[in-house]
Amino acid sequence: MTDAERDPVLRRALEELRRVPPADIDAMRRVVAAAAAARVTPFDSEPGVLSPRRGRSIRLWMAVGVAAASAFVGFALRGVWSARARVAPTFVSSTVVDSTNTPLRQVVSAEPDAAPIPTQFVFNSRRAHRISVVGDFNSWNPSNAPMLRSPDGELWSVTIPIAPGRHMYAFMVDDSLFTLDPTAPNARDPDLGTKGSIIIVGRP
Amino acid sequence: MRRVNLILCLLMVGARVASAQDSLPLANIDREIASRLMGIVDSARARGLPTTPIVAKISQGVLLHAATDRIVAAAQNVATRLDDARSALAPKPTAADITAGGDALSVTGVTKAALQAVRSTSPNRPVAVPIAVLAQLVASGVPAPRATEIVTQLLKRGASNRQLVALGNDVNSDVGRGAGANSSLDVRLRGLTAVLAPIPQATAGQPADISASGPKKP
Repeated sequence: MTDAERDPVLRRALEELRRVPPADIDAMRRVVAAAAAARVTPFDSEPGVLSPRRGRSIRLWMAVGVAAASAFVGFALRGVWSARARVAPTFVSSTVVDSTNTPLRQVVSAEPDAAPIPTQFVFNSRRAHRISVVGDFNSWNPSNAPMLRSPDGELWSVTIPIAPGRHMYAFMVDDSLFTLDPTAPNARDPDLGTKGSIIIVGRP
Repeated sequence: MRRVNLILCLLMVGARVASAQDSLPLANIDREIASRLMGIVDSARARGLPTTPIVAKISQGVLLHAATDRIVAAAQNVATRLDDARSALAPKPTAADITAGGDALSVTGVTKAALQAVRSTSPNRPVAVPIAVLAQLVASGVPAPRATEIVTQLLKRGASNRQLVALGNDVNSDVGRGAGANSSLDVRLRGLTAVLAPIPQATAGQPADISASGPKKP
């Protein structure tokens, strides 16, 4: 039993407080009218009569929408401008002549052949703390392809999509040591004079 | 009217933000050098060339702390080779074709004529991989005319990209272990041509003469 239930004075006071006061109809009308006025939408307002606050809100959303659209258009235009020579993803046919000079029609897709191919790189080092693959396929940026260490701590690996072709690369060990791949052929860069490992990526 | 102006401004900003994706690592480079590098990239882009190889070359130079003049020269060389590759691989080279062609032209011995030979063999197919293998064979020590002949003949016989890549890698590995490039190519071709088709005309001593036989019949 609570104190309020034991004490009759306290109990009466509580009952008085709990009692709902009679409703003021005029006050309710005023509240409803104010609420109705506050939730006017562009659809139920008169044309051209927008409050400054609603106008700001609409302009903000318009700006966000237009910004998103412009970014989309920008990326699309960038693709067109930067790869004007790219072949559209259409199917083309080529003719191969066999020993009997019978033309064989080969239907191939131009686009899939140029699509990047997941390629795995593996490096063996127990002492390294951090290893990345750098190459012409990731703009020689060490942060683009950090390698993951195997549970036993010896092998490092990363798989990244690479466009078909011949690529030069190396491993960046602990952000400072430029190391060639001991399992791959290497070549000297004709422009910079440095050596790099070579990989040829091709779709089967 | 004001709204149209706003949309146009946002469109320009959007395009600018999008194009900044090809950003160059020029933070620590002299302003004049950075301007020259950006000029090379912009000029290549304006000519419709893929700019990724140029950006990659600049990044490589920056990463390896090459002299700035050398980086500029390297970027210009790459742009020139891309131009040459595109004209050699006309009329419809993909960006990957042009990139591979530009890389191949950096290998001593590979010429525009070699790229044109590969293109004429595969006029309507991407040729990035065959060109890459051609460059790899020449870099391994195979004379460029012979490498060109081998690659074009293999293409005519329907060799797959994987077979071509394996040939280039195998020859390179053999050379790395001390074998001669030509003899390695002979041996590796013998295995490849056996897979592609029986060669009734070829003798054991002429494995490289793969043009003598036709493609495998289904």
